[in-house]
Amino acid sequence: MKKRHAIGVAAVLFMAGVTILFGKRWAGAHVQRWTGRQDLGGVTCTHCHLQSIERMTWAKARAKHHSPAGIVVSPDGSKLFIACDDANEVVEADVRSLKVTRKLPLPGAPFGITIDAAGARLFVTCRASDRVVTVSTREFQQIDAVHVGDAPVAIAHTQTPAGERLVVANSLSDNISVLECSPLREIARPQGGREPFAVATSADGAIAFVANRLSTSEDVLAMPVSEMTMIEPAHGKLLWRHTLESAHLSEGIATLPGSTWSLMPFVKVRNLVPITQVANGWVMSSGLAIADRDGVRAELPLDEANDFFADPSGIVVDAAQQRAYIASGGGDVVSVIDLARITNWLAHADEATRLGAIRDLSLSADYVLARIATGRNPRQLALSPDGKMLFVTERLDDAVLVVDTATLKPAGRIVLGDGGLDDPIRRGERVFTSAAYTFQRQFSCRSCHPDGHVDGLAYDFDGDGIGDNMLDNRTLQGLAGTAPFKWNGKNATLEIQCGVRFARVLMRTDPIPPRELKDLAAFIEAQPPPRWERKRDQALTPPQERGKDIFFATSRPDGTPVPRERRCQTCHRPPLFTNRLPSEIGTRGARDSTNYFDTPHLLGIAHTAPYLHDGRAKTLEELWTIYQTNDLHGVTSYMNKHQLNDLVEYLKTL
Amino acid sequence: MKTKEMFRRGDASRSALGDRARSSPSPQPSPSGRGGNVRPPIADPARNASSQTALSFSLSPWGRAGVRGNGTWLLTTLGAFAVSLIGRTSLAAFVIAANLCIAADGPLPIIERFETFGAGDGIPADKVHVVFKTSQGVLWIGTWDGLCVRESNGKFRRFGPEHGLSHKMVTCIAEDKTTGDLWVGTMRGLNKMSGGRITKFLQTDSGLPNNVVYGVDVVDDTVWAATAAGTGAMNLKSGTWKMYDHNNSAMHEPWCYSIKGAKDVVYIGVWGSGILEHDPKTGSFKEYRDPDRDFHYDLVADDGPINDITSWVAWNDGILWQATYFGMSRYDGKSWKTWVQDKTPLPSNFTQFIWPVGNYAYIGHDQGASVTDGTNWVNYLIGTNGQGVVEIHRPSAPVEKRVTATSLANGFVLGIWADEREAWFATSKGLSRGVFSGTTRVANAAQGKVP
Amino acid sequence: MSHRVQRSAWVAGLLVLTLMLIGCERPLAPQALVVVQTSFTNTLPPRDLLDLRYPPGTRLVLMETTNAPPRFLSREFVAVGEPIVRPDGSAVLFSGKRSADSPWQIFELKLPRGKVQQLTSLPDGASHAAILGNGDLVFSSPVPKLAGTWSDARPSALFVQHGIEAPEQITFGSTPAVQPTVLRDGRILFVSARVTTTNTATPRLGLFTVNNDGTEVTPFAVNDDGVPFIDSPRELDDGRIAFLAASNVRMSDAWLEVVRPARPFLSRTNLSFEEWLAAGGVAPPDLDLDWHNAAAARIAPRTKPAGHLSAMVPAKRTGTLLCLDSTFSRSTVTEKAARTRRVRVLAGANARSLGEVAIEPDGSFQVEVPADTPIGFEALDAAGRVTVRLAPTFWVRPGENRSCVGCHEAYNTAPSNYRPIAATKPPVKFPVMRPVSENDHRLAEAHRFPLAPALSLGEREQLIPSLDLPERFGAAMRLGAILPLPWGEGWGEGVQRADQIGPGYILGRSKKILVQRKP
Repeated sequence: MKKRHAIGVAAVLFMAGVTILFGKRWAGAHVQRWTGRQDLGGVTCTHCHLQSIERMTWAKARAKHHSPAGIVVSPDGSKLFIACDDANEVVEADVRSLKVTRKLPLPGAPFGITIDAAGARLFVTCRASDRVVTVSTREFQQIDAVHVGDAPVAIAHTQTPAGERLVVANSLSDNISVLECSPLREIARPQGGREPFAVATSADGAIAFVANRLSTSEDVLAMPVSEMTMIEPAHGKLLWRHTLESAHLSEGIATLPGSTWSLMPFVKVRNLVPITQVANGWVMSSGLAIADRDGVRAELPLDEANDFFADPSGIVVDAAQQRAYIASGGGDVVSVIDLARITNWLAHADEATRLGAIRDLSLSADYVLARIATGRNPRQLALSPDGKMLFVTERLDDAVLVVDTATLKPAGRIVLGDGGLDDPIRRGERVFTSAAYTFQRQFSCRSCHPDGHVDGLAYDFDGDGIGDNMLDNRTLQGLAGTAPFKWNGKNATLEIQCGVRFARVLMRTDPIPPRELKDLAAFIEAQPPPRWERKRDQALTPPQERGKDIFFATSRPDGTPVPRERRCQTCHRPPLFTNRLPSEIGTRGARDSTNYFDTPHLLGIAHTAPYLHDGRAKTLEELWTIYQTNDLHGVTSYMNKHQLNDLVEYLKTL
Repeated sequence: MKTKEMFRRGDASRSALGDRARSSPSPQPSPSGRGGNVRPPIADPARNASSQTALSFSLSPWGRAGVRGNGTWLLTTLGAFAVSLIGRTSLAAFVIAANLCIAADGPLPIIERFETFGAGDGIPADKVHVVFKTSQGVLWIGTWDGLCVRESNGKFRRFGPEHGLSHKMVTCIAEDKTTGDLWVGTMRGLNKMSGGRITKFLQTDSGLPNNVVYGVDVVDDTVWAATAAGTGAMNLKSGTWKMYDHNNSAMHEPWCYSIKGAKDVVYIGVWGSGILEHDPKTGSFKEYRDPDRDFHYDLVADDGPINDITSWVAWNDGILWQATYFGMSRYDGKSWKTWVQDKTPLPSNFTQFIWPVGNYAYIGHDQGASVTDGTNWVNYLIGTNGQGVVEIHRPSAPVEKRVTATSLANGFVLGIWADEREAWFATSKGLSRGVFSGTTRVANAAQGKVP
Repeated sequence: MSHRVQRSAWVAGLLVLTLMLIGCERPLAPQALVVVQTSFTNTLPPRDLLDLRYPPGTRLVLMETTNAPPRFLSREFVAVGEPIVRPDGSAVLFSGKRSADSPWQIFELKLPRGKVQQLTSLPDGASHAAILGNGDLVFSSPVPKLAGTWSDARPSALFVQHGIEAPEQITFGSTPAVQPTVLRDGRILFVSARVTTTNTATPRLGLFTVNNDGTEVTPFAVNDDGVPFIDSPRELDDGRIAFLAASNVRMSDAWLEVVRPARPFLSRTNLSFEEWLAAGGVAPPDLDLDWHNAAAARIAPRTKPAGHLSAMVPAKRTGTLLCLDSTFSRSTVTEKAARTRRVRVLAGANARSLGEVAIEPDGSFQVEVPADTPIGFEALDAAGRVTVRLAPTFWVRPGENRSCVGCHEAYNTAPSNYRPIAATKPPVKFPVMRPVSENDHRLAEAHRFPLAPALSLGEREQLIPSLDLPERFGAAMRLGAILPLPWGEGWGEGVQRADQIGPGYILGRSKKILVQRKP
């Protein structure tokens, strides 16, 4: 009996051993057959199989918070209206009691908000549904709506000789919608820069100034420029598109009544200079651009020589007191600027001095009156009509801070939510947006990844030597499940990438503490690719269908088979469109230290330009027209222009 | 294929030889005409442009696929295009004043005198390919060496590749009246001049079918580009491109020379394929071809488009106009009317541009310019000694000839912009402005500001 | 089995006893101070600066409140000085010597129990303790000789020590690096002298910063914009940097000054004692007149300085330096710098030439130079003439990548955003030199300012009571200073004829004066 039992066990063990041995051999051969490579180790089935979108953190339901986005004060100063995009609500609060009085559920992520001169109608941009909605302030009900461009984030109301107008910044379609108010009707959609994000109009309604958040450049090593767009609200005609060199993250703009000035906070980014040091703003610093109708007149620093106030966002101007208030989302402060001193300084400075002033970090001591400490992530500002109260959205505290402008001290808070500290994603967002983890609080994760996305720039990290391996900034949206990270695939986890690695090569301070690092990773993994739900449910057009056939093609139209390792789907394997393995696609540059680069996922690829590891390709077309080498990046040499256009159209649907 | 090659030779010779023959009074024939040589002179920049174009084209894989190996067809065609950019000098002789009107549905404007603009006014090149005045009254010209805008001081300011223009050789201009953006076609790419910034669209970085852009127009939310390898349409809101060529439309050849938006449809002038009427809503195509299919002669008059070799197409107020190197045609929606030289007042079959105003149209050809309502004609020619010659053709009346002190800058007219008040002519030797009779207005200096 | 129970009982008992003892410890009062007091009975001549400032007999006293009896913490020490408190308030660090002959070392005294541990044991002594964010010790060694604080052939350098491990030198300049203090942003602020090529009798002192691994040494403040001598920098609670300033090396007319970090080079102003107190200064209460308070520190937790994760590569012996535009220069030398065509790289205190590198058309150059060695540059014009000279004064650590905007770059200036041509090419490499030797230091004398006049003390000391001193001296003393007394101002009745009296020193807050009577 015992003998038979032993034989049985031995047989089972033998069979298991044989299965494991041959299974392993077969798996190795399988990987080699599909990748054409012998040198890959540690490849598991999940690199190419057993993945599903539904399992991704960003595809799962998450807690919603009353994070204030846009705010506006009623003309009589009695009410404050707050758009809460995460909670899908517009909130009315009483300024005197600092209590929330009414709430209007408004789907589509209400983000930007403005009000007409009579205080009768609110106009709200819904970022997720691409709509502008009119809300009656008396009934607090939606009374009108219209579709605009993609992801509208900011809106301004103005009176022109041709009638009332709304100017809307469409952040994802890079254009500006000009609307008639009653009824809502789009009369023009002029082009903006990359990611229009803030709008302000001149007092006479003749000009609308639009701040664009991201910059673009002709070449990866060329100076990036962002744009301040000026349009005529009456008819929506483009007047001027002024450029700001090396400027990005412009998320606020204001005009100065009685003056031709527009004021735009921005981040002066220095991505072309090797990041050999962080001190003295070698990576980036905050500034204030002063422009008039003829262009940018001055760029002034908002930071100090030994202290920085990262991620400037909202700005409001008090013309009577000649003051500007600027929120620093990364520094958790509001800076108070003396405009009279700036005017005086400008009067004595020549053009070169005015435009170069941003480099002198000790200059701000001349005109920064105060730094008001706020709660987490102050982003948008509003002033009471009499200028006595300043309202500051504390986005990650779910509150609005009220500041007495006479004393520049906090005078109370409007509480919208509990701050969501029991939610690791919300805690992670606090880490993500805070500059407290970088040397002298110079920048935050968000400074390069607004909304967890890209800034469209390439940087030279000096960890591997000055000038070597210039790297394009990759999006964090849709990153969950795509480990390893970084273009060289060095970082096995987000904790390594965002912790020790960045502390060493970028933050130049202590690594983010483990608990906060875990929250940060939770937040990053919860960032979905842009509009993935909408794209998932959208039927493909005929060109997109043809492009899909090309993407998944196993042979050329003439029947010639495409080698497995050169098929799009082999490396960009659905559903995440990556096999998470390094690939050689013939893009090694003169200063690159490897032929192999991590295979990026393609979710939201249409919005992540530029492309390739060093950002050399400005558009998707250039991947195969200029930077294709010997059909290494997929077999495309047979394509005509129809086929290339179709392929690009399909990629835009991912 | 053989017929076409024969035609190509014939056409090229015709464009050059005809140039010489019909311009024989000119004391110095154009070099390109000598010996009927179809090849333009080495020094001719237009030829350089054509060779550049051929090069950029041959580098593009889909371009090769697009023309199915017809490289020589392209080269010869572009050679002809380049040759067509060559012009001659003219000199004013003496002045007479006239103030004429002739019967028509509306009076045809008569140009009393011409003002000429050249290097002294800041125009960087002799060859002005296109002239365009925006709805805001800003005058732009496209030259062999850059895009120019007329400043408030009357001088022209140049924009070239150093300002972001994709290529110095500008071929066509259109305006997006909604936003005021200007769309500029060049020999290497399409450009958007918007708020003082230029954005490029190339075949390598966008859905543009081909870098050689001959015609451009903006219709509602779509910019249309007629290129050497098909027509492209970009939706200005979504940035999505559509492309039509011989692979997916009624086009028999990919050479699209002009494009014009009409009511609900778009007309595409195709070299060798007549005129295509495209309905963007349904995606349908309707073709208008020369019924007699004869390249050299219009066997049957008024039977349809005069020739399949369309050099320009224009539309206004329900009337479609076609220019070819073998005469011109008009279609009012019901019937066609054709004109050829010798048999009609049309001075030359070599017509290359038409600009309609109301129910009449200006025609640019290799002898000067003409204006007609279909019945009456006024031809602006250049006399033996360079003086201006005005021919007025009335039905059943002798031709009235007048000599004017001033003339077009050159008889080779490549582009025209006109309204009821003035007319501008882009020629091979500078820019001309026609001042209508009954007025002494000079060009309004205040028209100069860039949008 | 019973034996096991018995042992367990013993262990439990000991555990309970320990817990009781710990539980019995009374926490210190929130306003507790640790004060260094000096007596006037000592007759030994000082050998170095610390002997002078903290003569034998100096003691460390814990004062919980003004009324509470003081606790004497340094009975086994001949002299103590320079007390600082760890950011968590758990211990006091101070310089001390256990015997008159032994060198000064750094000691740690755990609070509240008062257990003392010696942290350093360097033959030439250690002084000026400071604490990094990670708890590591920063100090200066050797202790400056009395005769040559700013002119020792072997200048003092800063060291970082983890626990009681061997200290690592982090500064390698050719001038002394002393009196470190750690800023809240994690940098070490210290006093040093700029190397000058002109023969001046006065060192050009300034405040400099360096990371905790010795990288990114950078001028911070006080450079040629005021009287030269500065001492005892401290970061105040409001972020300003206070320090003592004086017009001569004897600090005989020292007063308090302060700079704002927002504009360190342009905001130098006087600081009154009241301002200093309001900004977080420490004012120890008066004790009996036989002792005076030479220095004090508050025993309370404070904001822990940030850290800095080192990007050094210890295995390397070189670092890389990228200059964005060597033709750029601030103010006076701009025109000369614009003529720069080549750059000569100097290394070592003796400014030995490593070779030359041609600059790129945009003025940039990139070189790989020896680490942990003073580095300097000479900008050369087309004819090979030196247009701008930076004597060897800064250094790079192994594997450090360092950049500068230009020669003599303007302070607190961010670079323009462009790709320097030199960054698109590999760096020009220079041979690694041998470590800096004593000989280098001797040779360096030629490049350093002449010796400052030495302080010589008499054989005996005499205490002159009750002088009416200006408040600025009082304020200075609260920073732990010992001020040479300017004679000839006719203070007080007790002052004897100057020809009978040598240099004098005002000691402590008790407004007493210590003079050396001439033999």
